[in-house]
Amino acid sequence: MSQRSRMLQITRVDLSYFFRTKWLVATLIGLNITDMLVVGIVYKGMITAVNYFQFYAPGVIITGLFFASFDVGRRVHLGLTEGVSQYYLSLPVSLDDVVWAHLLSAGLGGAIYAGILTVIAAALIPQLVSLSTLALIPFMFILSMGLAGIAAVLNLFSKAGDRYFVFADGIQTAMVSLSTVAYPISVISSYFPSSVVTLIQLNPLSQGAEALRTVINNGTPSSSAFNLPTLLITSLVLLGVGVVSYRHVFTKLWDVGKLQ
Amino acid sequence: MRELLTLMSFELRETFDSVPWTVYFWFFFGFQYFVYGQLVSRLISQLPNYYVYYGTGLLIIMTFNVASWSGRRFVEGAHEGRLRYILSLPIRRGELFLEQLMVGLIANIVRIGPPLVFVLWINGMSPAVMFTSTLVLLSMSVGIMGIMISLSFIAFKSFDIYSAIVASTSAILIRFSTILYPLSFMPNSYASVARFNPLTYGSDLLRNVLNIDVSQLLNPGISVVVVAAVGISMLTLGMALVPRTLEGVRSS
Repeated sequence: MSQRSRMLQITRVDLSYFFRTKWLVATLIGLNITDMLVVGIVYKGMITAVNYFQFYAPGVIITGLFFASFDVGRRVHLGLTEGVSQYYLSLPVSLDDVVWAHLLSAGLGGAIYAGILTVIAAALIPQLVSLSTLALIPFMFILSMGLAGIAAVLNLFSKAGDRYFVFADGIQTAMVSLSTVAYPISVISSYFPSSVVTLIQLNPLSQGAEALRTVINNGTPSSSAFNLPTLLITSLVLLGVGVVSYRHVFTKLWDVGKLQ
Repeated sequence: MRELLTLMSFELRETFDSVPWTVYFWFFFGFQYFVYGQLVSRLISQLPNYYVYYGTGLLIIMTFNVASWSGRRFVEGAHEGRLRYILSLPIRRGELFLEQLMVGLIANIVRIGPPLVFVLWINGMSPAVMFTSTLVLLSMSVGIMGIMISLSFIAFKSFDIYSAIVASTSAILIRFSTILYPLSFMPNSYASVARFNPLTYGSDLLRNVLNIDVSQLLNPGISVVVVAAVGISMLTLGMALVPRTLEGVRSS
Protein backbone atom coordinates (compact mmCIF):
# COMPACT_ATOMS: atom_id res chain seq x y z
CA MET A 1 0.00 0.00 0.00
CA SER A 2 1.46 3.35 -1.02
CA GLN A 3 1.83 6.32 1.32
CA ARG A 4 -0.97 8.11 -0.60
CA SER A 5 -3.43 5.25 -0.20
CA ARG A 6 -2.63 5.01 3.53
CA MET A 7 -3.36 8.71 3.84
CA LEU A 8 -6.68 8.23 2.04
CA GLN A 9 -7.42 5.35 4.38
CA ILE A 10 -6.98 7.66 7.39
CA THR A 11 -9.16 10.23 5.64
CA ARG A 12 -11.87 7.62 5.15
CA VAL A 13 -11.71 6.48 8.78
CA ASP A 14 -11.80 10.07 10.07
CA LEU A 15 -14.70 10.98 7.80
CA SER A 16 -16.60 7.87 8.82
CA TYR A 17 -16.45 9.03 12.46
CA PHE A 18 -18.55 12.03 11.52
CA PHE A 19 -21.14 10.14 9.47
CA ARG A 20 -21.08 6.98 11.60
CA THR A 21 -23.45 8.37 14.20
CA LYS A 22 -26.48 8.43 11.93
CA TRP A 23 -28.83 9.65 14.69
CA LEU A 24 -26.64 12.65 15.31
CA VAL A 25 -26.16 13.56 11.66
CA ALA A 26 -29.90 13.22 11.07
CA THR A 27 -30.53 15.49 14.05
CA LEU A 28 -28.01 18.08 12.87
CA ILE A 29 -29.60 18.11 9.43
CA GLY A 30 -33.00 18.37 11.12
CA LEU A 31 -31.78 21.42 13.08
CA ASN A 32 -30.65 23.12 9.87
CA ILE A 33 -33.90 22.27 8.13
CA THR A 34 -35.99 23.72 10.97
CA ASP A 35 -33.81 26.82 10.78
CA MET A 36 -34.66 27.19 7.11
CA LEU A 37 -38.29 26.14 7.23
CA VAL A 38 -39.35 27.69 10.52
CA VAL A 39 -37.09 30.67 11.30
CA GLY A 40 -36.65 31.53 7.61
CA ILE A 41 -40.37 31.41 6.84
CA VAL A 42 -41.54 33.25 9.98
CA TYR A 43 -38.93 35.99 9.59
CA LYS A 44 -39.95 36.30 5.94
CA GLY A 45 -43.32 37.55 7.17
CA MET A 46 -41.65 40.09 9.46
CA ILE A 47 -39.09 41.43 6.97
CA THR A 48 -40.06 43.36 3.87
CA ALA A 49 -36.63 44.51 2.58
CA VAL A 50 -35.65 41.09 1.18
CA ASN A 51 -37.21 37.70 0.51
CA TYR A 52 -35.80 36.46 3.79
CA PHE A 53 -36.38 32.76 3.15
CA GLN A 54 -34.31 32.87 -0.05
CA PHE A 55 -31.76 35.06 1.68
CA TYR A 56 -31.43 32.88 4.77
CA ALA A 57 -31.36 29.40 3.18
CA PRO A 58 -27.82 29.87 1.70
CA GLY A 59 -26.72 31.16 5.11
CA VAL A 60 -28.01 27.98 6.77
CA ILE A 61 -26.25 25.81 4.17
CA ILE A 62 -22.93 27.57 4.79
CA THR A 63 -23.39 27.43 8.56
CA GLY A 64 -23.98 23.67 8.21
CA LEU A 65 -20.80 23.37 6.14
CA PHE A 66 -18.91 25.32 8.79
CA PHE A 67 -20.09 23.13 11.66
CA ALA A 68 -19.43 19.91 9.72
CA SER A 69 -15.93 20.98 8.71
CA PHE A 70 -15.19 22.28 12.20
CA ASP A 71 -16.06 18.89 13.63
CA VAL A 72 -12.66 17.63 12.48
CA GLY A 73 -11.15 19.78 15.25
CA ARG A 74 -13.24 17.92 17.82
CA ARG A 75 -12.21 14.57 16.36
CA VAL A 76 -8.52 15.55 16.39
CA HIS A 77 -8.84 16.86 19.95
CA LEU A 78 -10.40 13.58 21.09
CA GLY A 79 -7.82 11.69 19.05
CA LEU A 80 -5.03 13.55 20.81
CA THR A 81 -6.44 12.94 24.27
CA GLU A 82 -7.53 9.32 23.67
CA GLY A 83 -4.40 8.13 21.86
CA VAL A 84 -5.85 7.73 18.35
CA SER A 85 -3.44 10.35 16.94
CA GLN A 86 -0.50 8.57 18.57
CA TYR A 87 -1.65 5.42 16.78
CA TYR A 88 -1.81 7.25 13.42
CA LEU A 89 1.72 8.52 13.95
CA SER A 90 2.92 4.97 14.57
CA LEU A 91 1.69 3.90 11.10
CA PRO A 92 4.04 3.98 8.11
CA VAL A 93 2.75 7.37 6.95
CA SER A 94 4.48 10.71 7.07
CA LEU A 95 3.43 13.41 9.50
CA ASP A 96 2.29 15.55 6.55
CA ASP A 97 0.05 12.75 5.37
CA VAL A 98 -1.69 12.63 8.76
CA VAL A 99 -2.18 16.41 8.59
CA TRP A 100 -3.60 16.30 5.06
CA ALA A 101 -5.77 13.29 5.87
CA HIS A 102 -7.59 15.28 8.57
CA LEU A 103 -7.94 18.40 6.42
CA LEU A 104 -9.18 16.38 3.45
CA SER A 105 -11.71 14.67 5.67
CA ALA A 106 -12.90 18.09 6.87
CA GLY A 107 -13.21 19.29 3.28
CA LEU A 108 -15.20 16.25 2.25
CA GLY A 109 -17.36 16.28 5.40
CA GLY A 110 -18.30 19.94 4.94
CA ALA A 111 -18.95 19.59 1.20
CA ILE A 112 -21.10 16.45 1.63
CA TYR A 113 -23.08 18.01 4.49
CA ALA A 114 -23.61 21.25 2.55
CA GLY A 115 -24.56 19.18 -0.50
CA ILE A 116 -27.32 17.41 1.46
CA LEU A 117 -28.66 20.76 2.72
CA THR A 118 -28.48 22.26 -0.78
CA VAL A 119 -30.53 19.39 -2.23
CA ILE A 120 -33.18 19.94 0.48
CA ALA A 121 -33.18 23.72 -0.09
CA ALA A 122 -33.40 23.20 -3.87
CA ALA A 123 -36.80 21.57 -3.35
CA LEU A 124 -38.09 24.99 -2.25
CA ILE A 125 -35.74 27.29 -4.17
CA PRO A 126 -35.70 26.00 -7.78
CA GLN A 127 -32.92 28.42 -8.82
CA LEU A 128 -30.52 26.23 -6.86
CA VAL A 129 -31.08 23.43 -9.40
CA SER A 130 -28.45 24.67 -11.82
CA LEU A 131 -25.00 23.97 -13.20
CA SER A 132 -23.70 26.97 -11.24
CA THR A 133 -24.52 25.12 -7.99
CA LEU A 134 -22.52 22.12 -9.21
CA ALA A 135 -19.67 24.44 -10.23
CA LEU A 136 -19.57 25.75 -6.66
CA ILE A 137 -18.88 22.32 -5.14
CA PRO A 138 -15.07 22.50 -5.56
CA PHE A 139 -15.14 25.96 -3.96
CA MET A 140 -17.22 24.63 -1.07
CA PHE A 141 -14.71 21.81 -0.64
CA ILE A 142 -11.80 24.26 -0.42
CA LEU A 143 -13.83 26.57 1.84
CA SER A 144 -14.53 23.63 4.13
CA MET A 145 -10.84 22.70 4.28
CA GLY A 146 -10.00 26.35 5.02
CA LEU A 147 -12.52 26.53 7.87
CA ALA A 148 -10.99 23.38 9.32
CA GLY A 149 -7.77 25.38 9.49
CA ILE A 150 -9.35 27.53 12.22
CA ALA A 151 -10.14 24.39 14.21
CA ALA A 152 -6.48 23.41 13.79
CA VAL A 153 -5.41 26.69 15.41
CA LEU A 154 -7.71 25.90 18.35
CA ASN A 155 -6.10 22.46 18.68
CA LEU A 156 -2.77 24.23 18.82
CA PHE A 157 -3.78 26.28 21.85
CA SER A 158 -6.04 23.80 23.66
CA LYS A 159 -4.66 21.41 26.15
CA ALA A 160 -6.52 18.44 27.58
CA GLY A 161 -9.90 19.23 29.13
CA ASP A 162 -12.86 21.35 28.17
CA ARG A 163 -10.96 24.31 26.78
CA TYR A 164 -11.13 23.19 23.13
CA PHE A 165 -14.93 22.98 23.25
CA VAL A 166 -15.26 26.43 24.85
CA PHE A 167 -12.95 27.97 22.23
CA ALA A 168 -14.72 26.16 19.40
CA ASP A 169 -18.19 27.30 20.51
CA GLY A 170 -16.90 30.86 20.99
CA ILE A 171 -15.31 31.00 17.52
CA GLN A 172 -18.40 29.54 15.90
CA THR A 173 -20.64 32.10 17.61
CA ALA A 174 -18.35 34.99 16.63
CA MET A 175 -17.82 33.90 13.04
CA VAL A 176 -21.50 33.28 12.32
CA SER A 177 -22.56 36.56 14.01
CA LEU A 178 -19.91 38.56 12.16
CA SER A 179 -20.87 37.37 8.69
CA THR A 180 -23.64 37.91 6.14
CA VAL A 181 -25.18 34.53 6.96
CA ALA A 182 -28.27 36.09 8.59
CA TYR A 183 -28.32 39.73 7.46
CA PRO A 184 -27.35 41.66 4.32
CA ILE A 185 -24.20 43.74 4.12
CA SER A 186 -26.28 46.94 3.82
CA VAL A 187 -27.66 46.41 7.33
CA ILE A 188 -24.21 45.53 8.65
CA SER A 189 -22.79 48.74 7.14
CA SER A 190 -25.37 50.80 9.03
CA TYR A 191 -24.16 49.42 12.37
CA PHE A 192 -20.43 48.71 12.18
CA PRO A 193 -17.53 50.99 11.18
CA SER A 194 -16.08 50.39 7.71
CA SER A 195 -13.05 48.47 8.99
CA VAL A 196 -15.29 45.87 10.68
CA VAL A 197 -17.52 45.74 7.57
CA THR A 198 -14.43 44.89 5.47
CA LEU A 199 -13.55 42.08 7.87
CA ILE A 200 -17.12 40.76 7.70
CA GLN A 201 -16.94 40.82 3.90
CA LEU A 202 -13.69 38.86 4.02
CA ASN A 203 -15.18 36.29 6.41
CA PRO A 204 -15.24 33.03 4.41
CA LEU A 205 -18.77 32.35 5.68
CA SER A 206 -19.96 35.61 4.08
CA GLN A 207 -18.18 34.68 0.86
CA GLY A 208 -19.74 31.22 0.78
CA ALA A 209 -23.25 32.48 1.54
CA GLU A 210 -23.00 35.24 -1.08
CA ALA A 211 -21.77 32.71 -3.68
CA LEU A 212 -24.93 30.63 -3.17
CA ARG A 213 -27.12 33.76 -3.18
CA THR A 214 -25.57 34.75 -6.51
CA VAL A 215 -26.66 31.37 -7.90
CA ILE A 216 -30.19 32.06 -6.62
CA ASN A 217 -30.04 35.49 -8.30
CA ASN A 218 -29.28 33.68 -11.59
CA GLY A 219 -25.69 34.83 -11.64
CA THR A 220 -26.20 38.46 -10.67
CA PRO A 221 -23.86 39.16 -7.71
CA SER A 222 -26.04 39.26 -4.61
CA SER A 223 -24.00 42.05 -3.03
CA SER A 224 -20.65 43.80 -3.07
CA ALA A 225 -19.50 41.18 -0.54
CA PHE A 226 -19.42 38.46 -3.23
CA ASN A 227 -16.09 37.77 -4.89
CA LEU A 228 -15.10 34.23 -5.91
CA PRO A 229 -11.32 34.90 -5.98
CA THR A 230 -11.57 36.33 -2.46
CA LEU A 231 -13.42 33.18 -1.34
CA LEU A 232 -10.62 31.09 -2.80
CA ILE A 233 -7.80 33.21 -1.37
CA THR A 234 -9.21 33.46 2.17
CA SER A 235 -9.92 29.72 2.19
CA LEU A 236 -6.42 28.87 0.96
CA VAL A 237 -4.83 31.21 3.53
CA LEU A 238 -6.81 29.51 6.32
CA LEU A 239 -5.90 26.12 4.90
CA GLY A 240 -2.23 27.12 5.01
CA VAL A 241 -2.66 28.17 8.63
CA GLY A 242 -4.33 24.82 9.32
CA VAL A 243 -1.47 22.85 7.75
CA VAL A 244 1.12 24.76 9.79
CA SER A 245 -0.92 24.37 13.01
CA TYR A 246 -1.54 20.64 12.65
CA ARG A 247 2.11 20.07 11.66
CA HIS A 248 3.09 21.81 14.88
CA VAL A 249 0.54 19.83 16.96
CA PHE A 250 1.58 16.46 15.53
CA THR A 251 5.32 17.26 15.66
CA LYS A 252 4.91 18.10 19.34
CA LEU A 253 2.94 14.91 19.87
CA TRP A 254 5.63 12.96 18.00
CA ASP A 255 8.32 14.45 20.25
CA VAL A 256 6.53 14.41 23.61
CA GLY A 257 4.11 11.53 23.09
CA LYS A 258 1.08 13.19 24.67
CA LEU A 259 -1.00 16.36 24.70
CA GLN A 260 0.44 18.74 27.28
CA MET B 1 -30.39 17.05 54.31
CA ARG B 2 -26.78 17.44 55.48
CA GLU B 3 -25.66 14.84 52.90
CA LEU B 4 -27.51 16.73 50.21
CA LEU B 5 -25.78 20.01 51.12
CA THR B 6 -22.35 18.38 51.32
CA LEU B 7 -22.73 16.80 47.91
CA MET B 8 -24.09 20.05 46.51
CA SER B 9 -21.14 22.11 47.76
CA PHE B 10 -18.76 19.50 46.27
CA GLU B 11 -20.49 19.63 42.89
CA LEU B 12 -20.71 23.43 42.92
CA ARG B 13 -16.97 23.71 43.51
CA GLU B 14 -16.42 21.39 40.57
CA THR B 15 -18.92 23.25 38.38
CA PHE B 16 -17.32 26.64 38.95
CA ASP B 17 -13.83 25.27 38.52
CA SER B 18 -14.74 25.39 34.85
CA VAL B 19 -14.68 29.19 34.57
CA PRO B 20 -14.39 29.15 30.73
CA TRP B 21 -17.95 27.83 30.30
CA THR B 22 -19.40 30.61 32.46
CA VAL B 23 -17.40 33.17 30.48
CA TYR B 24 -18.55 31.51 27.25
CA PHE B 25 -22.21 31.96 28.23
CA TRP B 26 -21.62 35.69 28.77
CA PHE B 27 -19.65 35.89 25.51
CA PHE B 28 -22.53 34.14 23.71
CA PHE B 29 -24.98 36.60 25.23
CA GLY B 30 -22.80 39.60 24.21
CA PHE B 31 -22.58 38.51 20.59
CA GLN B 32 -26.21 37.55 20.28
CA TYR B 33 -27.47 40.71 21.99
CA PHE B 34 -25.13 43.35 20.59
CA VAL B 35 -24.50 41.92 17.13
CA TYR B 36 -27.20 39.47 16.01
CA GLY B 37 -30.05 41.17 17.90
CA GLN B 38 -29.08 44.67 16.76
CA LEU B 39 -28.72 43.68 13.11
CA VAL B 40 -31.82 41.50 12.86
CA SER B 41 -33.95 44.12 14.60
CA ARG B 42 -32.86 46.62 11.92
CA LEU B 43 -34.18 44.23 9.27
CA ILE B 44 -37.51 43.53 10.94
CA SER B 45 -39.96 46.18 9.90
CA GLN B 46 -43.27 44.59 10.86
CA LEU B 47 -42.71 44.49 14.63
CA PRO B 48 -41.80 47.77 16.32
CA ASN B 49 -38.99 47.56 18.86
CA TYR B 50 -38.03 44.01 17.99
CA TYR B 51 -34.73 44.50 19.81
CA VAL B 52 -36.41 44.43 23.24
CA TYR B 53 -38.53 41.46 22.14
CA TYR B 54 -35.39 39.64 21.00
CA GLY B 55 -33.51 40.48 24.23
CA THR B 56 -36.12 38.72 26.36
CA GLY B 57 -36.17 35.77 23.94
CA LEU B 58 -32.40 35.54 24.25
CA LEU B 59 -32.69 35.28 28.03
CA ILE B 60 -35.08 32.35 27.60
CA ILE B 61 -32.69 30.70 25.12
CA MET B 62 -29.84 31.12 27.61
CA THR B 63 -31.97 29.69 30.41
CA PHE B 64 -32.75 26.76 28.15
CA ASN B 65 -29.06 26.27 27.25
CA VAL B 66 -27.88 26.37 30.86
CA ALA B 67 -30.68 24.03 31.96
CA SER B 68 -29.80 21.61 29.13
CA TRP B 69 -26.16 21.85 30.15
CA SER B 70 -27.16 20.72 33.67
CA GLY B 71 -28.91 17.64 32.32
CA ARG B 72 -25.99 16.87 30.03
CA ARG B 73 -23.54 17.25 32.90
CA PHE B 74 -25.50 14.69 34.91
CA VAL B 75 -25.35 12.24 32.01
CA GLU B 76 -21.65 12.86 31.31
CA GLY B 77 -20.95 12.29 35.01
CA ALA B 78 -22.65 8.91 34.66
CA HIS B 79 -20.53 8.02 31.63
CA GLU B 80 -17.32 9.08 33.34
CA GLY B 81 -18.06 6.81 36.29
CA ARG B 82 -18.80 9.60 38.80
CA LEU B 83 -22.40 8.50 39.18
CA ARG B 84 -21.32 5.10 40.51
CA TYR B 85 -19.35 6.83 43.21
CA ILE B 86 -22.23 9.16 44.07
CA LEU B 87 -24.65 6.21 44.22
CA SER B 88 -22.38 4.60 46.80
CA LEU B 89 -22.87 7.60 49.12
CA PRO B 90 -25.51 7.50 51.88
CA ILE B 91 -27.97 9.74 50.02
CA ARG B 92 -31.45 8.91 48.83
CA ARG B 93 -32.02 8.84 45.05
CA GLY B 94 -34.79 11.42 45.25
CA GLU B 95 -32.47 13.72 47.18
CA LEU B 96 -29.83 13.16 44.52
CA PHE B 97 -32.28 14.37 41.88
CA LEU B 98 -33.07 17.43 44.00
CA GLU B 99 -29.36 18.09 44.50
CA GLN B 100 -28.75 17.98 40.74
CA LEU B 101 -31.64 20.36 40.25
CA MET B 102 -30.31 22.81 42.85
CA VAL B 103 -26.78 22.75 41.40
CA GLY B 104 -28.35 23.51 38.02
CA LEU B 105 -30.40 26.37 39.45
CA ILE B 106 -27.36 27.98 41.09
CA ALA B 107 -25.35 27.59 37.87
CA ASN B 108 -28.29 29.18 36.08
CA ILE B 109 -28.38 32.16 38.45
CA VAL B 110 -24.64 32.76 38.05
CA ARG B 111 -24.69 32.41 34.28
CA ILE B 112 -27.98 34.16 33.49
CA GLY B 113 -27.94 36.69 36.34
CA PRO B 114 -25.52 39.25 34.87
CA PRO B 115 -27.11 39.27 31.38
CA LEU B 116 -30.59 39.45 32.95
CA VAL B 117 -29.69 42.39 35.20
CA PHE B 118 -28.00 44.09 32.24
CA VAL B 119 -30.99 43.72 29.88
CA LEU B 120 -33.44 44.89 32.55
CA TRP B 121 -31.19 47.76 33.64
CA ILE B 122 -30.76 49.21 30.15
CA ASN B 123 -34.52 48.96 29.63
CA GLY B 124 -35.09 50.89 32.87
CA MET B 125 -36.83 48.13 34.83
CA SER B 126 -37.38 48.35 38.57
CA PRO B 127 -35.89 45.91 41.15
CA ALA B 128 -39.37 44.42 41.64
CA VAL B 129 -39.56 43.59 37.94
CA MET B 130 -36.03 42.14 38.11
CA PHE B 131 -37.10 39.92 41.00
CA THR B 132 -40.27 38.71 39.27
CA SER B 133 -38.38 38.07 36.00
CA THR B 134 -35.78 36.04 37.86
CA LEU B 135 -38.57 33.97 39.42
CA VAL B 136 -40.12 33.31 36.00
CA LEU B 137 -36.76 32.24 34.53
CA LEU B 138 -35.96 30.01 37.49
CA SER B 139 -39.39 28.36 37.33
CA MET B 140 -38.77 27.65 33.66
CA SER B 141 -35.32 26.27 34.51
CA VAL B 142 -36.86 23.76 36.90
CA GLY B 143 -39.16 22.48 34.17
CA ILE B 144 -36.41 22.28 31.52
CA MET B 145 -33.87 20.68 33.85
CA GLY B 146 -36.50 18.22 35.02
CA ILE B 147 -37.10 17.18 31.39
CA MET B 148 -33.37 16.90 30.62
CA ILE B 149 -32.48 14.93 33.77
CA SER B 150 -35.53 12.69 33.37
CA LEU B 151 -34.43 11.93 29.81
CA SER B 152 -31.06 10.79 31.15
CA PHE B 153 -32.30 7.18 31.35
CA ILE B 154 -32.05 7.12 27.54
CA ALA B 155 -28.38 8.05 27.81
CA PHE B 156 -27.73 4.97 29.91
CA LYS B 157 -28.73 2.94 26.83
CA SER B 158 -27.04 5.14 24.23
CA PHE B 159 -25.38 8.53 24.67
CA ASP B 160 -25.72 9.28 20.94
CA ILE B 161 -29.47 8.76 21.01
CA TYR B 162 -29.71 10.95 24.12
CA SER B 163 -27.72 13.73 22.40
CA ALA B 164 -29.89 13.43 19.31
CA ILE B 165 -33.15 13.52 21.30
CA VAL B 166 -32.00 16.48 23.40
CA ALA B 167 -30.84 18.39 20.31
CA SER B 168 -34.08 17.77 18.44
CA THR B 169 -36.22 18.54 21.49
CA SER B 170 -34.31 21.82 21.89
CA ALA B 171 -34.72 22.68 18.22
CA ILE B 172 -38.44 22.01 18.22
CA LEU B 173 -39.12 23.73 21.56
CA ILE B 174 -37.16 26.88 20.68
CA ARG B 175 -38.25 27.31 17.07
CA PHE B 176 -41.92 26.41 17.56
CA SER B 177 -42.42 28.94 20.35
CA THR B 178 -42.74 32.68 20.81
CA ILE B 179 -39.10 33.01 21.92
CA LEU B 180 -38.03 34.69 18.66
CA TYR B 181 -41.33 35.77 17.10
CA PRO B 182 -44.91 36.39 18.28
CA LEU B 183 -47.72 33.94 17.49
CA SER B 184 -49.36 36.51 15.21
CA PHE B 185 -46.48 36.24 12.70
CA MET B 186 -46.41 32.45 12.55
CA PRO B 187 -48.24 30.50 9.87
CA ASN B 188 -51.32 28.84 11.39
CA SER B 189 -49.77 25.36 11.32
CA TYR B 190 -46.74 26.57 13.31
CA ALA B 191 -48.83 28.66 15.70
CA SER B 192 -51.01 25.69 16.60
CA VAL B 193 -47.91 23.67 17.54
CA ALA B 194 -46.49 26.63 19.48
CA ARG B 195 -49.66 26.83 21.60
CA PHE B 196 -48.80 23.40 23.05
CA ASN B 197 -45.23 24.45 23.85
CA PRO B 198 -44.53 25.45 27.48
CA LEU B 199 -41.74 27.79 26.32
CA THR B 200 -44.37 29.88 24.51
CA TYR B 201 -46.12 30.47 27.84
CA GLY B 202 -42.82 31.14 29.65
CA SER B 203 -41.68 33.66 27.03
CA ASP B 204 -45.00 35.47 26.99
CA LEU B 205 -45.13 35.47 30.79
CA LEU B 206 -41.67 37.08 30.94
CA ARG B 207 -42.76 39.71 28.41
CA ASN B 208 -45.92 40.36 30.41
CA VAL B 209 -43.81 40.89 33.54
CA LEU B 210 -41.57 43.28 31.61
CA ASN B 211 -44.66 44.98 30.19
CA ILE B 212 -43.49 44.58 26.59
CA ASP B 213 -46.28 45.69 24.35
CA VAL B 214 -46.79 42.98 21.77
CA SER B 215 -50.19 42.13 20.36
CA GLN B 216 -51.50 38.68 21.16
CA LEU B 217 -49.36 37.89 24.18
CA LEU B 218 -50.99 34.91 25.82
CA ASN B 219 -53.06 35.43 28.94
CA PRO B 220 -50.63 35.86 31.87
CA GLY B 221 -52.89 33.87 34.23
CA ILE B 222 -52.83 30.86 31.92
CA SER B 223 -49.07 31.32 31.42
CA VAL B 224 -48.45 31.24 35.20
CA VAL B 225 -50.50 28.04 35.49
CA VAL B 226 -48.66 26.37 32.58
CA VAL B 227 -45.15 27.35 33.79
CA ALA B 228 -45.94 26.21 37.34
CA ALA B 229 -47.62 23.01 36.17
CA VAL B 230 -44.66 22.06 33.95
CA GLY B 231 -42.20 22.80 36.76
CA ILE B 232 -44.15 20.77 39.35
CA SER B 233 -44.89 17.85 37.02
CA MET B 234 -41.27 17.60 35.84
CA LEU B 235 -40.10 17.76 39.43
CA THR B 236 -42.49 14.94 40.37
CA LEU B 237 -41.62 12.92 37.27
CA GLY B 238 -37.89 13.29 37.95
CA MET B 239 -38.31 12.32 41.61
CA ALA B 240 -40.23 9.23 40.55
CA LEU B 241 -38.21 8.28 37.46
CA VAL B 242 -34.61 9.01 38.42
CA PRO B 243 -34.45 6.68 41.47
CA ARG B 244 -35.80 3.79 39.33
CA THR B 245 -33.49 4.39 36.37
CA LEU B 246 -30.36 4.97 38.39
CA GLU B 247 -30.38 1.60 40.16
CA GLY B 248 -28.11 -0.90 38.55
CA VAL B 249 -27.04 1.56 35.89
CA ARG B 250 -24.32 0.21 33.61
CA SER B 251 -22.95 3.11 31.64
CA SER B 252 -19.47 3.50 30.37
